[in-house]
Amino acid sequence: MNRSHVPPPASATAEQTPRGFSRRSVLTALAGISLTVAGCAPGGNDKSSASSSSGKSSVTLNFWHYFTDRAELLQQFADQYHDQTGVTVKLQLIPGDTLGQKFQAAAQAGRLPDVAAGWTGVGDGLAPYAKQGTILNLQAAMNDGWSQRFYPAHLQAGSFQPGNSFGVPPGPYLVPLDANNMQILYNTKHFAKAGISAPPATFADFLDASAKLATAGVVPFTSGFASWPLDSFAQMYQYDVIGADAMDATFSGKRKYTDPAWLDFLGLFQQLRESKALAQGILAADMPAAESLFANGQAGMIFDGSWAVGVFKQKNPGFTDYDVMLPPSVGGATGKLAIPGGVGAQLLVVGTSPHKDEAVKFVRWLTDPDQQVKYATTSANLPANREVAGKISTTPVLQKFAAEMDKVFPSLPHSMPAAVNTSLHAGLQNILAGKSAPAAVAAALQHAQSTGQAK
Amino acid sequence: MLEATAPGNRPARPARSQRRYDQDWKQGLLFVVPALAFFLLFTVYPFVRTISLSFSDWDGLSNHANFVGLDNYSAALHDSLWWRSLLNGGLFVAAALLLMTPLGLLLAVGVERVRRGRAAYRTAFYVPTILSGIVVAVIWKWLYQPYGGPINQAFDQLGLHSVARAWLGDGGTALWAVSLASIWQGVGYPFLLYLAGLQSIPDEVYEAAAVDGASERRIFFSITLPLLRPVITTVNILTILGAMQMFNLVLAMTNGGPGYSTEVPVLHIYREAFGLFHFGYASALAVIFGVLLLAVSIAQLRLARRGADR
Repeated sequence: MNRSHVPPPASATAEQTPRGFSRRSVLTALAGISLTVAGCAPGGNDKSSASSSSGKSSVTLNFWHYFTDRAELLQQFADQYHDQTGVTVKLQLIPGDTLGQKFQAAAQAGRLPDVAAGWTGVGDGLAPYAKQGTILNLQAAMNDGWSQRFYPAHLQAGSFQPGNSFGVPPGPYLVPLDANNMQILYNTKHFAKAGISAPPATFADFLDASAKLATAGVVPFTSGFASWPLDSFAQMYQYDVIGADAMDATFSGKRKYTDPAWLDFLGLFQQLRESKALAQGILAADMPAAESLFANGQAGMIFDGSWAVGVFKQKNPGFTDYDVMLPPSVGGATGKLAIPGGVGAQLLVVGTSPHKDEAVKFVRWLTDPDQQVKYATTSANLPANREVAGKISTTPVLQKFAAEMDKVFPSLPHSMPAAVNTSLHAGLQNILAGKSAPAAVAAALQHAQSTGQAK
Repeated sequence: MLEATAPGNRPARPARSQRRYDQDWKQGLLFVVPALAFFLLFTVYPFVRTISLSFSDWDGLSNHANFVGLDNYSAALHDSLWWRSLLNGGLFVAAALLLMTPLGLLLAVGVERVRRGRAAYRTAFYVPTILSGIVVAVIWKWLYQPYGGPINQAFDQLGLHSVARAWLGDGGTALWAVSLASIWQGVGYPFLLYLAGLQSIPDEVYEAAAVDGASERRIFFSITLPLLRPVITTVNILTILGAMQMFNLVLAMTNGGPGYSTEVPVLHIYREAFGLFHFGYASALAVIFGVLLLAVSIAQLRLARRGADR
């Protein structure tokens, strides 16, 4: 049958346009295209800067954070801030290990929040944003007396120094919200059972205590060595064995990772491998898994931070038989052990936000004494505001953590390049797994430093 | 009556019919435009952009990037970690091809033969496939736990204390442990495809073979397997592509460790882009990887076609 014999639908005939398209088809197609374009168009965040009739601001600030244990507390702060100022703070909880990726993707798409938790320290990871102005340089705000609230070392930890190797304008980019440090917590009952009368003071004592714990049927030492705690643990012994000056010289390329001091540092991990210290599966354990092992009374020691006190309370409220000790020094180049920590949670303000001034005011409000007291007492963290640090009643273990804040290692002018850091993490895991020797790892680190490629 | 036309010339269309044809064509085009816009924006543009970025040193944030020619491709050739990740990907492929696809076929043959509860079996074997990779990772991390994990406890109860170990924390077992979790999750897919393939084989063929006195074994190897060849080809290609592109299980279970013992290509690309800010280099690795997967798929198709022609 010839197609031309098929009668067209009446409606189509009636609405036929002079060019041959029905009006309906044109409208449908245009609606489709509009939806497509609208769906792809960059939409701004839900932000309004209009003032409400009450005279209070009606600005909405978007705040991305990863503080799972403090989400409720932050919501209380957001509600309180809204009542006081009219500014709405919309909190979005994002897993800590993906916040960096989410921030990067949002920066590319132009959909950043106004305030975010810092997911990394000053270094490779933050420099591109600070250089572009995506993260706000808070120097001007800090000059207005804000900086007086913080320990200078804590503020320095979130600042790019003048003449930094990244070419970032110097100044503070991260605001400390709380303080912490990492030490070794130990189970007092297991120590007594294993006949360990005093916490080990030297690395040799530590290995000896581990052997005693193993003999007593206790898992000697655990931590989340699948991820960043291994890097923090290693950094501690870099300061101890290599020393800050030599570390900085190596990071800036003036010394080599194959120098004897670096080999000595890597050799410590071979000693750990050969001892009975490490928990089975420590290389696949993340921090929550390690903390569960310790809080359930299965492990004798854990390398963890001051926040662990709150975590243990949450995981096993009845678990109180533990204390904290400084990690044992090997008495290397410095003869003095420095511990990781200083600043705990940090916040940053997005420099490209249309509400950056309001965002700065909100972050500053969070560091006010009243909020800091509530924050520290509710979350079992050490406050960043030094005015209130001595006014908070905490547990004896937290007090011991607080007492060692002066031992936190200082930030260096140069930081370890990201490719070297990746290689070091894998290299240490390989040493602990018996797959690599310190010399091979040192060579891989040097290769990463020279080429920018992890090996 | 048919009109004679010169070779290569289309028969003349009546003027009214031609107008109608033009209208339909344009109308059709209008309806296709939204889908085409999506396709160009979300498929063609990222594809072209990835290729163009692979010749640059873009860090993922800067407004400008420098053209670096073939430097990224040259660097990939000398990147020992990239080669290591490809090797690990190959091992995942081998495990999947040697264990998962035969297991899928075995399950399909078994379910095809049962008379009752076929739907229940189908559901049970397919459920892991629809689970999120992260959920599967959590389940298997718990199973593999060195202290109190069910697998190690089972070995202990059987008196096999020396077999119990930190499956994910040991560089020698981590890759195979992740692979096993992946097989558990993925076996439902080949199972379903094989089951559909088995059900499409006509009963008459089996009946004829039975009349001729063929044994069960002979029927399986001479009738079932040859007639399943197109399904086997499809399953093999999908298995290779899936195993080579493994990412979320590895990320959640081992993050590529211990050391680099479970580093896989997609994780390496991800780390270069999002961890080290080497977007240009990561784009080059993505292009190389894409070409590699395409080549493997074509090779597999050709092998299958050659086998069918014999």
